[in-house]
Amino acid sequence: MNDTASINYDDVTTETDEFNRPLYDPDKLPRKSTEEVLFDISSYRKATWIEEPSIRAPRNILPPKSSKNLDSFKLLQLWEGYVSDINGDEFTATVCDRTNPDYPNEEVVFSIEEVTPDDRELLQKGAVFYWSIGYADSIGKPRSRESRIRFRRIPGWTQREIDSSRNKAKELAQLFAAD
Amino acid sequence: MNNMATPNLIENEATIVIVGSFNPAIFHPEWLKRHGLIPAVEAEGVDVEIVHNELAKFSLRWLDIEITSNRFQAKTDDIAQFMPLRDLIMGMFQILEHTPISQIGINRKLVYQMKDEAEWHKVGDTLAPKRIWEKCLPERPGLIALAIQSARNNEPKGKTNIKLSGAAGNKIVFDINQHIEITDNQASSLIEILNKNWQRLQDESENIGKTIIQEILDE
Repeated sequence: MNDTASINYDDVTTETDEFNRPLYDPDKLPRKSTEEVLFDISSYRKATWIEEPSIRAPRNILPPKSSKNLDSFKLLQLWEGYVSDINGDEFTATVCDRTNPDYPNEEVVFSIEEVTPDDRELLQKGAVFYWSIGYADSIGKPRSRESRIRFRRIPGWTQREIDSSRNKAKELAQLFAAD
Repeated sequence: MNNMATPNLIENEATIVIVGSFNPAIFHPEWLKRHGLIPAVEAEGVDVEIVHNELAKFSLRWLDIEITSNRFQAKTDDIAQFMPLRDLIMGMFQILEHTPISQIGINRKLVYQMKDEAEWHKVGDTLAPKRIWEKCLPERPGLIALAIQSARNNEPKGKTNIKLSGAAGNKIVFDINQHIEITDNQASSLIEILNKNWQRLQDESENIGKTIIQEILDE
């Protein structure tokens, strides 16, 4: 059995209630083998000396699932870049073509307006971003050609990583000093 | 040799599967936004199916996430978001640095549209020749699915599992699983593996699908 193959958890849902909300069958939820279960529904259902009650899984109290987002984006070209300079309402970046990796890197000047407002706080020298151009299809709208810039979001170094790096630096410093 | 055009790749999906110990209840779009892992606008209008002690399942515009107590799965079918998917997982487990993790699957689903039924059958006939099967089966047999496994000879050590199947409409589906064991159970090892190997493993997976189809059609 391959544990890390992708699986579809839509198989977990079985029936729905009168409001068409899915009722999750706890017997189908993956369980750890050592997990203690206070009430094991599967063994209760097997009992033959009492009439089997109509036990139902807890109702899903969330509103019915909305229709899945049917927007799609047909990628034409993708670059990965980093900001090399910021000058007023423009920034310069060096970009690497991910669609055609054999092409040389290029320097591109962008307007800051091309960066979504939520990402502008990430706009600084050295920041990495992904730039994609493609056709966007959305329900109720004609196809449009879009340019999208998305900045990389990785949390800063953790204290443990900083401490580990400091310790390593000390070890190396002692090693070189000994020589 | 007759070199035909490469068939049309009509679906392209990347998935990360992580086996470990998780608390599904904490995974919510608001948690991602609060830690700066997604822009605020992406946390709005999110399709949250369930966030429960046993199961969390929600979708961003470009990403589907499903988490149980021992399995984490995140997938996207937007090729422009393959790297952001990697970044998101790295960021999440940099914050959840004490999460025990035992295995990771860097997976890819590739769906090719074959030109016609004849071309579609050629894939099955090449990979599973029918001559022997026809000696013991009364009607013409057909290939439903084929599973292949191979060890990787480069870092990170692990196995490549490939499942190939046919789908309605003359499609061929590759489910490619790059399986990796995390021997020290550390989230930091997961982050290092994703940082160093994500792109290369994705390229290798894509090459598997492309090579198999091209070799079959070129015969």
